[in-house]
Amino acid sequence: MGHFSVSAIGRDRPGIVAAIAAGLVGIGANIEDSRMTILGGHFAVMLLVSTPDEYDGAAVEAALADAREVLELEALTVSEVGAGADARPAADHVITVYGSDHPGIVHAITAELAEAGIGITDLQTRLAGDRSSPLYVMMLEVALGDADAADLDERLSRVAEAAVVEVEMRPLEAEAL
Amino acid sequence: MSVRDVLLYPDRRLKEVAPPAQGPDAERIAADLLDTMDSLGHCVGLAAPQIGEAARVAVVDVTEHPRGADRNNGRLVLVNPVIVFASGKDVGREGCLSIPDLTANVRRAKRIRVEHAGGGFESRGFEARCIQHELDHLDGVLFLDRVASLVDDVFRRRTYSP
Repeated sequence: MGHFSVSAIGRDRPGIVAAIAAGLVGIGANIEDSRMTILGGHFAVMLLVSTPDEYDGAAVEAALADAREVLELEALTVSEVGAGADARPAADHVITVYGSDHPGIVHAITAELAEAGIGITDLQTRLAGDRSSPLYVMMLEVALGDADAADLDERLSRVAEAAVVEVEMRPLEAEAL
Repeated sequence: MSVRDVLLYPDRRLKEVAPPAQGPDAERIAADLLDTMDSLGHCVGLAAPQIGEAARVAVVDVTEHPRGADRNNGRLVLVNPVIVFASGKDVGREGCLSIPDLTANVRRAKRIRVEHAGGGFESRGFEARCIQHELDHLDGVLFLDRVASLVDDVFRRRTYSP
């Protein structure tokens, strides 16, 4: 069995998922997992697909050629992934960042994480408030692994002060049961 | 005694740890907090930093609120309050006058015991949640500092009526 990551981006309209799924089912492919969302009128989909042995990446792409044309997709990529490559490092901390919206918040925080070699497993942002005083909220889940939490906390505090935002890092709550 | 403006984040005064409150100052601030809270209709609590006063004073009154009307300690004026005991965990939806557009699911203790300049008492449920929210203000902590997930727990307020 082959495993592929399929991503597609296009202007939102009804029928995108159906057209992509039709192409995949035509070659007996199985959609094992997916993420789909809309942002700014653009639809993005990421699929983890398994296929019968005889299909390689080019064959999967060919199977999606119709969908690509009909939907006028702006991008369609197919990449082979190893079986079980879905296993991302487990997030163990959540970082909340908020402040008056201005360019550079995402960069300031993520650059510090990258320098510390810490992976982001999930990142969400939200813009609230009115136009005169927009409030930017970002939450990241990160996998610290062996990294020193106290040290990172201190580094993030310095970055937060420079970027004039609030930063709070907490261990991810493990639910009992 | 007067109705004061409520500060909005990102006002830095909302992120400061407030020092203990002293005698006449505490009384004046408490009176202003009560006047301001009463002027805001649905408001069930207010803390000194929200009106720009750096002092550990907060007021809570859930007696008129549907979720607190049957179990409360009346109109609370809390000067230098401390939570000395907390138990249980419960997730509930909170908003804040200082962050008007958002609400969030926040985890709080279900039962608390509070000691303050005027004595001590036990509180449960909705009132206990309000007290914990107001006391957070005295430490410069806003509810956004306590949410676990932006996708699952933070919501845009549907309507905001001050």
